[in-house]
Amino acid sequence: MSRVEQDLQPAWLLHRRPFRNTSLIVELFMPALGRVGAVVRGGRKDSSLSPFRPLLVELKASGEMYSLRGCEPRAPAMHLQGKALYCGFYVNELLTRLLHRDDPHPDLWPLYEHTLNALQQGEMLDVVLRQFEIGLLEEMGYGIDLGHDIQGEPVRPDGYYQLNPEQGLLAASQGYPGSDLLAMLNGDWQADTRRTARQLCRALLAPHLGDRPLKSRELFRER
Amino acid sequence: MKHAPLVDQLIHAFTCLPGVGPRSAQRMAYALLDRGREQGRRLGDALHAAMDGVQHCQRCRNYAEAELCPICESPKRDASLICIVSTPADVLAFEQSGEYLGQYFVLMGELSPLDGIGPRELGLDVLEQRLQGGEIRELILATGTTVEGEATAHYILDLAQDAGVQVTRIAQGVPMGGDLEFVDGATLAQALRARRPFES
Ligand SMILES: [Zn+2]
Repeated sequence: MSRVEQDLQPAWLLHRRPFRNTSLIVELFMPALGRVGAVVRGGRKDSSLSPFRPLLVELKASGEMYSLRGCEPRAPAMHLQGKALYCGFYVNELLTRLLHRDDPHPDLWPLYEHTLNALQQGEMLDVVLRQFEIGLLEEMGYGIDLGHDIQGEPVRPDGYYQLNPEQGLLAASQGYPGSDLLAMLNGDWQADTRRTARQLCRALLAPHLGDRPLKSRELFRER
Repeated sequence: MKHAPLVDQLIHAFTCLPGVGPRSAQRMAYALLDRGREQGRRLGDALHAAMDGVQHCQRCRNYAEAELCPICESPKRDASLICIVSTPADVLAFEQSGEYLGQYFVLMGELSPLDGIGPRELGLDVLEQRLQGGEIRELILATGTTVEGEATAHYILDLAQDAGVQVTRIAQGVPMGGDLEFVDGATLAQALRARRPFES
């Protein structure tokens, strides 16, 4: 094995943008490094540097960003089409917005790969996104216990709950139905549960997104 | 300061051009000042006139001097056939082929949410209204084959299907006079998927 091959590490490209005349700045997601920014000199025309393509990259630290020294495909590109592709952008936008650069999250790597694979399967895309959002929030330390309220009492299927995104669920006379929260916990995704999960995840993400909403939400047309 | 302020200002102004760094900007400024005063004045006039006089065509979003661009205004172009392209340069490429007699809709970009480009930034709300208006018979999608181009194509397909408008997409594959050996795998796979019966 040559030296270069040993230095190749798995990566997913989250985003690319032009830099100077012929170069690129890419945001990569990597198992050991988390989200990293890298300059690719002369990389503008390299079509293999694309989101949803499993890559092997060689990075060299240079200043506050890396520079990408080599890149090759690790497996064929994912085939995301239509809504599944919008979901892929959504997941990438979430990672770009929520992860800090150079903050490792090794447990997120398998979740990200699982999510892309599930999107490629194309079934229950909203559930795939909810599971990703819940896993991402947990990994970042912002997860909540869906089985208990903040007093430590088990969530009751006939109860209703309000959300305090920092602390968790509060028993109330109206709000998120306990039966849906328990169904989420058990992975039983009926239509009502999916609606509740969507609202709950939005509310959980909101404090971390600030006043700039996720742009990829605009791709999903309401009819 | 190395230069007189006006020279400095000129050099700095040239660096706004794509691909022009400080060195090339300095060369450009000197070339005009040394022996190109007349051309320099013409360049200045042309810049002024274009910056003030060029707007977007209200139908197709391409650059225009009036409300409509020459293509949208021409009675010879079929207004029920609309080709969707990402940039004005794509329009030029189609026009040079001499094959196309419909009109265009120029997105001026592609859907790229992480760059802040959503449907409205591409004028897709305007396109949706035109599709609903009923004067369009067929949309030809000619966006790129990147993931952004694919997302854009699918979004527009959705709009067109809601309006009951037929959608086609330009064929993708092996370039004319191209050697298979030098065609990348993804292009070849797409060419294979889009193969057609070969008849005399
Ligand atoms: Zn026009």
